[in-house]
Amino acid sequence: MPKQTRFKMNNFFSKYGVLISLFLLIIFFSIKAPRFMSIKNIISLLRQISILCLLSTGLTFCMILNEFDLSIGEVAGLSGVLVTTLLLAGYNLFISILIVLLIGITFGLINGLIVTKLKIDSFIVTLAMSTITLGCNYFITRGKPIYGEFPPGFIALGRGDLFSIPYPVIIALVVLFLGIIFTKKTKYGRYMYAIGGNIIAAQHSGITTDRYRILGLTLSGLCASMGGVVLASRLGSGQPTAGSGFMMNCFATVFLGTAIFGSKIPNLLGTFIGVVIIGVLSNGLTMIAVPYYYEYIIEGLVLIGAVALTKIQKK
Amino acid sequence: MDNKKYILEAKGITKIFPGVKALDSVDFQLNKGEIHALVGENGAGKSTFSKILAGMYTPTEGEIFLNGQRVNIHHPLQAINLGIGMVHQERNLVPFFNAVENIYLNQEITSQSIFLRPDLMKKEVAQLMQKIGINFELDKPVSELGPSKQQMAEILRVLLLKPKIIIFDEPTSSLTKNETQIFFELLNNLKKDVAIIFISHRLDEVFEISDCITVLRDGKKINTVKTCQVNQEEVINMMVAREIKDLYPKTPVSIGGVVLEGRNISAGKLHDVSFKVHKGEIVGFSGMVGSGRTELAETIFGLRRLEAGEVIFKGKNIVPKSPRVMIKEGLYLIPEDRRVEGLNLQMNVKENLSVVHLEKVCSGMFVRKGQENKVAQDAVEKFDIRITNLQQIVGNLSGGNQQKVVIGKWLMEKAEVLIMDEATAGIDVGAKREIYKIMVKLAETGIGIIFISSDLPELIGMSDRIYVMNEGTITAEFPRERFSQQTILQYAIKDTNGK
Repeated sequence: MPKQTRFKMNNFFSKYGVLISLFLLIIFFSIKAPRFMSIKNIISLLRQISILCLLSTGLTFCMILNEFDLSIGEVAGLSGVLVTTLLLAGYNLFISILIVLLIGITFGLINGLIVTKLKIDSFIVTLAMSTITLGCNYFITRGKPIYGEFPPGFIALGRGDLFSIPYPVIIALVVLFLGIIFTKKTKYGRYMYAIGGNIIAAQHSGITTDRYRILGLTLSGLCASMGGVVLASRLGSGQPTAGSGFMMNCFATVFLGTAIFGSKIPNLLGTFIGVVIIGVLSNGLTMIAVPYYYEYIIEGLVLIGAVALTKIQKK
Repeated sequence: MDNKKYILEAKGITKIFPGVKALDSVDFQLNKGEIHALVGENGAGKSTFSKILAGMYTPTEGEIFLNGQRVNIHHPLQAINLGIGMVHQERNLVPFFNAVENIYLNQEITSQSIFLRPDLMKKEVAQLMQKIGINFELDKPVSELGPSKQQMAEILRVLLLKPKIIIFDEPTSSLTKNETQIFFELLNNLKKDVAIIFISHRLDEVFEISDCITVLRDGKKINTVKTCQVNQEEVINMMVAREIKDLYPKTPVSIGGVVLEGRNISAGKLHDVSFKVHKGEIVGFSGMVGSGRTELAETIFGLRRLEAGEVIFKGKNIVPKSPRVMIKEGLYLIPEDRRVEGLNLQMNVKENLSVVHLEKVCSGMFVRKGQENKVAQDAVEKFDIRITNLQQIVGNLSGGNQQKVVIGKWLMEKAEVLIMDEATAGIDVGAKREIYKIMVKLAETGIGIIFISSDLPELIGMSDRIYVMNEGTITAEFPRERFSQQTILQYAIKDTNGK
């Protein structure tokens, strides 16, 4: 009898452990830093996580397909650098953003085509692509940040708000919402899950698997460049290395999301909760003045913990 | 003119894979309303042929006619559109999707041709199930359903496409006797509307269900016969080209002392299991799928934790902590799924054979090629593995030969006890017989064999003694002279909760 209760407890923890830890984190930080729960801080926290949310949304599309995209961080970095460069060159705001998003799509598309047509593992392809992207980035910037007078519309994108909800948050939530509809309610989302679950079965059902794998990586590229544009706008400059830190946190969020509710498969709602956890951690740690290097260590541990949690559930 | 009456006719189908002629101008005719069995040894070309009909392979030569019309089938979708559906041997389901999601995969009912309508799909499936008289849970992920229900889902999936021809590739390989009967009733029901091609290794079933039989051998069609006009032996002879008089080459051996004993073993769903294996004895374990035989094997082999009870091996009490410990002691397991657990399909024959014994063929940290070759060559000869050279990739071998590599891999060393878990599942009659011969040879050298099989005739044919398992416990034990298919089956399927 005691064995059975233990089993149920384990089951409970593996199902709701992620949510519980989020809850505990919030309580912990609220006690340690009373300012943590202030409206002002919550809004700034949301603003902080909006970019991570955009990138993680894209990565979730890939992970649903059982593909990796390691290039998202660098694509975001390149996008930020590009949009600022274009704006300073005098291009119209709308045109500049459009061009940058198209370039993000192109990088994703190239990833997808190489993965499906040359049949190389997406892990390798996107790893290589991230270096290539970083190279392009340095080619444009020579490693120096891009500063200058930007149109007010561009700055508002990252810093403005609507009814005191920051624009980046609105953008991220809209993209997330569309993503949830797409993955859960449309047949295309169904196909992507089918491919991730059993690609042979999907092929036998006549699904053109390559097309959806390309689509997933392309969406990932698009989301990454959206994130990059918003990031540059928030920073008010094009920073060559601004995107580099995102990749690992994105993986952590998707794995946290996979572990949540015991769903065992990547899903956007879960990813969003993962994003909130990373955001709370990073914001809270800063608030209680933990040195930044601890943050890296903790982020790494969170990634391992999240993956471990999904493994435990799969058993 | 003449071919007008066939719903499907294939003429001169040849398929050449790099280095192999899988099919050699095969002719085939299928009539409406018949169940047409396709039989042959592994590698005879049954799968290749059916995959050509289902659009997964394109024939190198030959023509296919549907109702007298010549058709080209280059893609599974084309086959589906032409009314040819196929239920594959391997389950092709998305594990975390439920049955409805799987059944409607790529055929979804949508609004605005984008948004899914799960409610409508579920209703349709329920109706279809009612029509053909089956029933199972539609909301659970299919990974939580049993094999027969998974198969039902696959069948429903094909039926949804309203096919005129359905190909079943080894549909009964994962079904129990009862489930097979239900499945056959379903087939007889379906037969009214569709023509069925039925591929199976189990000749009893072929004789029970089919109207005619086409025999393939080495990629060539040997004959098509009416099922009622032949007997099993004749069909087997067509399949193997040599007469198999006695399928089970079991010889009486002198049985020695107890080599392995389990006392009151409990682990997971196993409870209180006790058994003995003597030297030179083949001990059969009968039971339904899920009766706990595999769990028992894995527990003794150290893959599962022994929760209670004792394992006595060669006279001493031993805790099966890990396979490593047990292998060292001389106990080996040939697993149920050789593809997953027993072999590295991408590696070649030599590497697969030597991998467990690398220490023997290494000097220091380096593998000594000559030694390795010699050891592998020995195994190839001893177990009659049919290969062109040691560098052949194991994934390209036939099922029977793969199984021999698995056995060879373990038995290069001196074993005391060998556990064979469904070791002959999915391989052809000829290869089965060779495995039996190997078993007899091993038993003669004093190795005790635990022989787990769902194929009762084979179990009866090969064992010295049979234990019957049911719901995690041993329900009966029979010595060879008291073997009876019916009694054993009774104990295997008896509802243990009822008593």
